[in-house]
Amino acid sequence: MIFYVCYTCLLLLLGSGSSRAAEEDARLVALKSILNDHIVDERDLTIQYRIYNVGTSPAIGVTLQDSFPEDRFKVVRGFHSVRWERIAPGANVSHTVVLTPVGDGVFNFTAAQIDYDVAEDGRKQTSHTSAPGERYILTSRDFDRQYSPHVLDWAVFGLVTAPTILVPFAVWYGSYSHYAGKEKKA
Amino acid sequence: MPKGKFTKEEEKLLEEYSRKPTKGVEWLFYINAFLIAAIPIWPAWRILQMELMTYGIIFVPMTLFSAYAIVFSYGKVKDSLRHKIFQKRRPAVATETSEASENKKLTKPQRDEKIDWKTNEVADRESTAFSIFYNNALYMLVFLALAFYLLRSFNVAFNYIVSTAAASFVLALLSTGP
Repeated sequence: MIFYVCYTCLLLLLGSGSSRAAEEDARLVALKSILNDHIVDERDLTIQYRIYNVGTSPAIGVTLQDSFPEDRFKVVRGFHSVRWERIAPGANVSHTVVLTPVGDGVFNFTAAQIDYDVAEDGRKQTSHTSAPGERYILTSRDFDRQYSPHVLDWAVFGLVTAPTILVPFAVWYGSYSHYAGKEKKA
Repeated sequence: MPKGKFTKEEEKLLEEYSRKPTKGVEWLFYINAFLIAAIPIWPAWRILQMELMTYGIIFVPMTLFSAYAIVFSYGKVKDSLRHKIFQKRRPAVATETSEASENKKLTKPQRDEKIDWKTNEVADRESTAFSIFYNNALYMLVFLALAFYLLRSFNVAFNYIVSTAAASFVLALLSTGP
């Protein structure tokens, strides 16, 4: 009985100690977002990572790691792997990568991985960013067909079509107005 | 005179009052019709992104088909308007002809013949011009409404074929109406 009580008190002490430690740890929340409205083959795609430290201790040795298949994307600017020495509590950092898709079709944008030390004692933590999910990569032709304004093309079309309608109208109207006036006089 | 043969004067009268368009008007119809039928290739290529070499097999027959339908419509609309315009313009042409000093010495039958000839010319010109204007405008309107509004989410080849065919059909249908 006494042994049982002592054992229970020991467990409670240890538990309260670890929860106090957890409250003082760094805690990172990370977002991975695609800044483009449309993803188009052979055109820049911008991906932004934002990391927030919502804990009460600085996050130490924060490493962000992401990957994209080389046969689907070419890196234009930025790095897939980034390290920050320290992210203070309440602070946030961001990182941007610019890619160019190669080929069209559906692609599943998965979460990136974040590794960091939650406190000075070197306890490690691994977490992940949010995942944008499946997005469709359009061909340039489809994108132009659906979204390009084609102002110049419509202007040329108008320039070519207008004479075929206006010239016969002008010929007809010239004769009509000439004789319509004389009809009234007659 | 052998039966079935006409004098030169009779042939001239037949040509002037015939419903068949003259050679000049025929060529005008063919050139205009081909131009109007070919214009939709530009928005199909540039806006619908239909490559010329890939879709040439569709562009050529549809252009020829549309041109044929447009020429048909030109002729029908012209025929239906010509007589009405002749009747409407005759009084005004008569007044204009009578007032001209060179016609004051003509006898009444000669003046009437001149008036009829002039009215026929005016009616021919007006009916030709109006027919071309009306059919061109209607064809373009129907093509644009179908290709870039009603059928915009369909496959581009289907879109082009149906738009041009339907525009040609509408023209032919309305030209044969009352």
